[in-house]
Amino acid sequence: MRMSKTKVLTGKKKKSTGWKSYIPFYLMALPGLIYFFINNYMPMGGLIVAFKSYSAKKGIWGSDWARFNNFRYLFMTNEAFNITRNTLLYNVAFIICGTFLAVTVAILLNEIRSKKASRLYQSVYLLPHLVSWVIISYLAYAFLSADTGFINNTILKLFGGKVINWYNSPKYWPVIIVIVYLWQSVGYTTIVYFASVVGFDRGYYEAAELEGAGTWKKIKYITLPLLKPTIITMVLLAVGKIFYSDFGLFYQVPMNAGALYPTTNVIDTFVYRGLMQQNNIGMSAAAGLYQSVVGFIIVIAANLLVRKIDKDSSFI
Amino acid sequence: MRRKILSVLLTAAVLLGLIGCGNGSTVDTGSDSKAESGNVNTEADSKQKEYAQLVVAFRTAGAIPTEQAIDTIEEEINKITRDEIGAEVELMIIANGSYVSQMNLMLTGDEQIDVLGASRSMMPTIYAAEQIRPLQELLDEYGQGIKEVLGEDLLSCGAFHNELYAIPIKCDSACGYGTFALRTDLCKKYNIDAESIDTYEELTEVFQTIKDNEPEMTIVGSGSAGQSFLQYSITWDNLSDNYGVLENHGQELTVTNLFESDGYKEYLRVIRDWYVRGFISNDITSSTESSATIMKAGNLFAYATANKPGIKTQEESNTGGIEVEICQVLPTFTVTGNIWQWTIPTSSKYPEEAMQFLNLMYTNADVLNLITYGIEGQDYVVKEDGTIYYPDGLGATTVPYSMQGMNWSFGNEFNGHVWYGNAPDIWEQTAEWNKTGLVSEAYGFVFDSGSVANEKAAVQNIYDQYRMSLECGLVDYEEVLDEMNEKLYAAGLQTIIDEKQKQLDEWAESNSKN
Repeated sequence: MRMSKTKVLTGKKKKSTGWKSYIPFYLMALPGLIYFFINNYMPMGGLIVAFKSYSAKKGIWGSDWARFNNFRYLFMTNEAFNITRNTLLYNVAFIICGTFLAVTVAILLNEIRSKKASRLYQSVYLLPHLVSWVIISYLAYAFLSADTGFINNTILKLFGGKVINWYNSPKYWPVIIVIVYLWQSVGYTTIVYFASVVGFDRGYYEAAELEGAGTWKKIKYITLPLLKPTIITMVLLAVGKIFYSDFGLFYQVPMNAGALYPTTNVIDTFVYRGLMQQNNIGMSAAAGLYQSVVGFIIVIAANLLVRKIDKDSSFI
Repeated sequence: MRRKILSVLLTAAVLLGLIGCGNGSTVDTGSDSKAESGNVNTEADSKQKEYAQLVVAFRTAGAIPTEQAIDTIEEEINKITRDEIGAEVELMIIANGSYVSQMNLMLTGDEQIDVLGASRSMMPTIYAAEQIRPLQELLDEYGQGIKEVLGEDLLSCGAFHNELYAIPIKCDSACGYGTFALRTDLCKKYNIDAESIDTYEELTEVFQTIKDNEPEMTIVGSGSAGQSFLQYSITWDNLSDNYGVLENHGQELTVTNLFESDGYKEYLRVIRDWYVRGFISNDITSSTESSATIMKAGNLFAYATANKPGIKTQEESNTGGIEVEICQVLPTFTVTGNIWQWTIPTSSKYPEEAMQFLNLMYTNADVLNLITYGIEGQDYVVKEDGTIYYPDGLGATTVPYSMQGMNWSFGNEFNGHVWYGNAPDIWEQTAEWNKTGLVSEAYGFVFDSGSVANEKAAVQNIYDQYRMSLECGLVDYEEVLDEMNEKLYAAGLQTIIDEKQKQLDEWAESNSKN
């Protein structure tokens, strides 16, 4: 009896000192926690609007319940399927192509001997990341414009191809969007990979050279295996955001052209158009809630999968 | 020690970075407009307390005047309103392009707006969300002048389900469809008499002449960016949104599907023909510039517009002085237009004064001229023939205050000055013009889409995917029209048509039509 009591007491004591020693860390986390609470948790109350037929006069609480009425328009056509598919497939394409390209570029950069040249290339690759989507959309327009665009006027003319009305042909856009995305983003992710590659112990490479390994073998047997944890982390971070889409990319770059909706409409642009055109916040909230629920399910599923493959890298 | 300081600094930097990111991602237009209107309110509060402070919101296509210029105008208007209605006004002038979204956000945020100018596209939604007040009682008490100016028929265009929610404007209600502005210099060069063009066939011939002789030129534009030719080419009463229409100029009250009608197919046939002949730019669907701007740049021969008295002057001001001839190939036609209306939002603090102000705007020429053209001598001068123009040395972009391009939107343009270049008797001409042409049997009917909001959203989504490419002739309508109709029906078009018919029947009964 006595013993157990002291045990409990000491246990408590240990615990409290433990907790106290963490206070500075909690304090450090506090601004972040407050931010998360205000920005990410408080607005969740607004989800109730998705189930209301909103009236400004009656306010959010006073408005009549609409049950699932606000969700109907999503499922009346195959719109919900369409935007979900677009969002998912684009992100999967971004993750695969983006990782592949960024790793390749990082390794290639590492092979460049001249420091000056290597720096120059880094900056050049990074530059598009700093350009606004509105400007990028006009750069793309300079290429794709039907009458005056570079592709129709120069490239296709050169090969005698027929003029293509890019902003009217949804089938080309999955490729265009991925290319534009890679052009814009690859410099940024490259830097992350390049930073790890530069940090690898030169000793491995020197040993390999003594053994007679060529450049390709060094990449295959040293660089890539060492890069694996970084790649997994980066991919996981991307998977966590797999249900979010870069609004600027999907709204600005296709010039908001209606004909392109089937292949460029993603959940974010869909919700935006809904709110701006229909001014129906109930229906917009419904689409937002749909995005969150499906996104939640997909992230949990992806995480389960990752845990099976590599337990240390999963979030939960 | 040094290392410690360094680590503290680093931590601080990371934290600041985080907070910075947080701010960055939470800023949206909503909070922007909130902040703005907050300022407006505090400013208003700091003025004398005994007058009601009315916030009057409307849009402009031109430059937004400076704060100072607006203050001057407000002060002049207040000199009148203080005595007449015991109120002061605060003008909230917003650029055309962002007006609808900004107003939607402000209304959703319950910001104080007392008098709100509402475009056609805003009306059904702000009505459905109960963001505007019913006006009949206020009108009966304070709006005798408005009643006299508008008359019963026009006033009923502001009603939903026979209940008044908006005050329509009195302007050129008849609209000359199938109207095109053609460049005068080229017309002269190729001996084209614009006035004698009466049909699409003749117009096509004219376009072909220009195309043959000026092969590098784009022949015809649709008027405004993001719009097809359809808005200026209707031969049906579109009943506010084209989903369910009255064919043949609305002479019978049977709602049908526009996209299966002969009128629509005829329109598509003409436009497709033009596209195939190379009259229409391939870039028309993604262009962000109005046709007038493109003509100003020099490579466009004609564009679509809507005919009315003074149209030539209006278009020549849009093209920056390039002279144009006007031709019209479809009948003049009057439908419930409601291109612009005045409402009193639920968020208004002073609805009674708001209605009194509207009454003043519709009846008092001084108030109308101040809000439209600014102050005489400073913002405009009166010419010999009685028309007005910018003072010497000033123009559209340099004048302190001018809503000249929006002069039709302030209720009763017939009361205001006439802009230079127009006939001094333009308002008499307009009054005559409004009596010409066909009038839809459903004139005065306004559709309330609230009960079919889901269907409308779904249908709109489908229609948007086809609209521009189909209605600008880029795709062959014979191939895609059936497919589009199929999808539209699947999205609930028939439900909208049925609901429209139901409301129309109710309206017809209470207005004893038939």
